Amino acid sequence: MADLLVPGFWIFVLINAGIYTIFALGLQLQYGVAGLMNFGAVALMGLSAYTMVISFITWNVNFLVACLLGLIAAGIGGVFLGLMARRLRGDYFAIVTIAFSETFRYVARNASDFTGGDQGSLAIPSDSVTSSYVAPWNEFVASISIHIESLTGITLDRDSIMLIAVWSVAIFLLVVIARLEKTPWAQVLRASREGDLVPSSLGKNVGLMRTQVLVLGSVLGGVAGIFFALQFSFIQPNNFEPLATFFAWMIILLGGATRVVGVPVGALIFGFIFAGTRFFDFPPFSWFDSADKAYLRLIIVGAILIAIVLWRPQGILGRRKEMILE
Amino acid sequence: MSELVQLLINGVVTGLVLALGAAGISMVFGVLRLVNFAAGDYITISAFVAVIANIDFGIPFWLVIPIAALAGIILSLILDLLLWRPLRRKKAGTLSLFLAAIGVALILRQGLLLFTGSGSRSFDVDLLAAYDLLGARIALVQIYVMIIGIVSIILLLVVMLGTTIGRRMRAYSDNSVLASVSGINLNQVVLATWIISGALMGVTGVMQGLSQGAFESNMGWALLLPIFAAVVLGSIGNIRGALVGGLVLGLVMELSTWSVLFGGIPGSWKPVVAFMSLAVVLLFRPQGLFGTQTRSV
Repeated sequence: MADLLVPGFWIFVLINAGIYTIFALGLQLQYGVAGLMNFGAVALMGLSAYTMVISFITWNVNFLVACLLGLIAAGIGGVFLGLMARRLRGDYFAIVTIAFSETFRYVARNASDFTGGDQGSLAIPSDSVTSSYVAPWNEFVASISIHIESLTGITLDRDSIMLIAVWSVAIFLLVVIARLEKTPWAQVLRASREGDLVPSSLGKNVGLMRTQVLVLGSVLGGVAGIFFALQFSFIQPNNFEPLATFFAWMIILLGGATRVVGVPVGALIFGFIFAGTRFFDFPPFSWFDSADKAYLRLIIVGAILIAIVLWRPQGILGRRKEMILE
Repeated sequence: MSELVQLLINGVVTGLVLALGAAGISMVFGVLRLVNFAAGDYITISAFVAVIANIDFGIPFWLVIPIAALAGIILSLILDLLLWRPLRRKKAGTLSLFLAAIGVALILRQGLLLFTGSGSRSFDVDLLAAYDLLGARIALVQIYVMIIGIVSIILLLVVMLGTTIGRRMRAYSDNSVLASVSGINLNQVVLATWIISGALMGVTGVMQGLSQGAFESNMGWALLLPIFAAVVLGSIGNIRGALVGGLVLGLVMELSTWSVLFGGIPGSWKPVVAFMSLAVVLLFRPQGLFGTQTRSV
């Protein structure tokens, strides 16, 4: 139980919850507004993280430009999803997006000359001896830390600064997306959930708007991907399994899929459930060893998913009336 | 030439596995509008039941095939009773069903890992035996997979085309309102769908376990995406389409490694080929190869 009292552990949990907030926000925008069931969102996170890391390590691009390239790559992935969404809806779109994300992972695993394969970012080809991409971020953090110390006298470590950075970005994006979801643009997309006929007859290009919402959501996934890469200092293909997308869906379900404010609430609950299962050292959980506990943790996630769908489809904050889990 | 024959043999074997899995999943979608994302784990669990019966209980290999089918059926019926029926009663929509299926998939696969560990298992058959065929090698297990696959497809077609319940299932799948109005009993159709699809999942599990030689608890999950690609290729809900879609996809995946085609792509890229074929087909024929209309929502 000792970990429970260490602040560093909780900071770690909160950083992850922040990254998942940004990631799930993209899905909330796509589903909550446009009714699109994107089950391949993790690919955009991976696309952005890999583009950032590869352009920094292999192509020696400036760090900030590398981050920007990562976001652009995620946006281009979103355009591809938009192309698919022009033809496919509902289940079809969901299946094809999962297949898209697994394809991304297969490519990342197999194109090892380029991506480092299963060894991840450590094996990405590089001119210099060290192939780490976190050095510029660490320098930035160090300089910020010195500034804060000289101003306030408080010393902050790397994780605390990451925590502040992730949640500042998350809250900023939450406000922006919450406003966006009240615009006429979002209203037209909401109307399009019932079919393209009405909005199209009013002269709205629904296909284009769907692509826009997919690109926006993908760029949010891209932001999450860059924070993920910086937080863990190492990325590998298996970080981007469909499981991460399922977690994000669970987060928006927990929070109530129709409300933006539900996303951080869901992410925090999810973060604590996921981390909390580590401390289940009483029976029946104490009968299992740590490998078994990892399986047990995912069983709990699956059970919660089913329980929400069965008994509380509106989530914790959602209002039943406006919750249309179609 | 012998390389081509070899790839054709492998392609038919892969294709038969995909075809039967796809038919089972497609049939459930046709009747219940449910994308059963947990189907991969039905496949794995049936295969594990069969391998335990075969190795731990010494039951001869050919007898464990019906046991695997039975395991698939029992699992399908239990889950229908516990989960899918309550969700049907609540008129749960697409997203609810999809997320519930993901929940089931997580519970089944992690549960299996919990009970069997991460080791791999094999059936009690001669995995090394192989024969010459036009300069290529055909393994004994490949012959087994072909026999099981072809017999299953014939049985499936007889049931679907030749029996009353098969006609009712197809009628319900084509137009549920019209079928209900003409007095078709939904509960009977649902039961028959789960029984046939469960048996198909079980047989698919044995076939894939055989063709891989050794298998682990993630076998079904790895198989699920190519199967879904075959389902969509053959137009979701269309059983004959799923069978053809599976065979075509199996052949395309294996033939993509043929050295005559620009040197062939490495074998580890086969899943990527499956997805690319799916994406290309969907861009030009969103209703799949056998669909008649553009599907929406």
